[in-house]
Amino acid sequence: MKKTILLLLITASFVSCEQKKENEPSNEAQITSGNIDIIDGWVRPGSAGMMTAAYFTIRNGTASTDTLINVTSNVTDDTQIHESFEQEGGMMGMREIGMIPIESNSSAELKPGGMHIMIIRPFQDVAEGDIVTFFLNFSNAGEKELTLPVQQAAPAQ
Amino acid sequence: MRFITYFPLLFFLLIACQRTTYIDDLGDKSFVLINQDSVKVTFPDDYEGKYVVMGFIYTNCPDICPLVTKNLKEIQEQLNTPDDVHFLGVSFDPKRDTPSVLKKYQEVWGVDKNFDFITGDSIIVAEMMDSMRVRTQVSFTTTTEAGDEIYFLNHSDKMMVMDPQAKLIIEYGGSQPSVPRLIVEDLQAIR
Repeated sequence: MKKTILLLLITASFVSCEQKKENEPSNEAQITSGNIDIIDGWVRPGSAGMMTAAYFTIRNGTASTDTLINVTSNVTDDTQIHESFEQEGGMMGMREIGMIPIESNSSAELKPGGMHIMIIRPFQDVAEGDIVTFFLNFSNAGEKELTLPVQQAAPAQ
Repeated sequence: MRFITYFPLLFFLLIACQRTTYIDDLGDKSFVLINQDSVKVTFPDDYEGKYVVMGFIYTNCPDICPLVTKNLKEIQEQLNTPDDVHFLGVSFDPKRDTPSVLKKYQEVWGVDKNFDFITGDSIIVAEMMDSMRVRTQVSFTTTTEAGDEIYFLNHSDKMMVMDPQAKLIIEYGGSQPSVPRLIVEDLQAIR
């Protein structure tokens, strides 16, 4: 009787482990390009001389860690890599993080309320429907050109 | 004897039922501010008789404050722009958020009817923020390529609802994605 119970417990724990594996996100399954890919990008509308932000996901499908070290844009002389964060007492803060390392076969998501590209004082209005060009400089992959649509919210995924 | 025993209990139950819960009563406050059209606004007096949904923002904030403004806009849209609910984006950065800057911000967001952005004298705005328990502090400054210094603010993430009697009755984290649904449900339940 004891043996039967023990056998059932072992079987149940194996099944449970298998289930967990299936539910876990697998970066390796998604990232097979061998490249740095930028997806799901967009820019929030903003006025000339004010502030706005760009968001996207960087997928590193290469064999080694790569780092986003610099971003430039055709709509401003000043772009910075920033991160919003929550402090004690419901306070929200923002800080410049300078760079974003992305490990091999993983991704970094720049999204509202988190990491973002700060567009400081654009030369002209950045209006819904416009296209903004960026140059992303990676430590290994070098410079990548990126054109993003201006829209009020993230693209539907 | 039985009446004497139950009378205090009934009395306290009656008192408890009459007590309305609210966060704060702004009825005795009066803040003279200005909106995006440079029209004088007296808060809360000018809004008595209406519900007011207000978020606290500054326009040089590129990430969190747009989420607050987006939530305000979504709530208004989901309620079908009702006449008895006014929407306010209240700036806690009056030094830079002048009426013309707020006007431009309003245009970018495509809001107009029953939706104002307000600012004012620095001292009055600070007093209003104190009464709303909205805290701000300069987080860091950065220098642009042109040599201009820009400051950023850490700030409370807050959205509040004031009832037609100038009582603050609802408060949520202003940038949270669940806020539009929660406030729409709350307003539909109490209006």
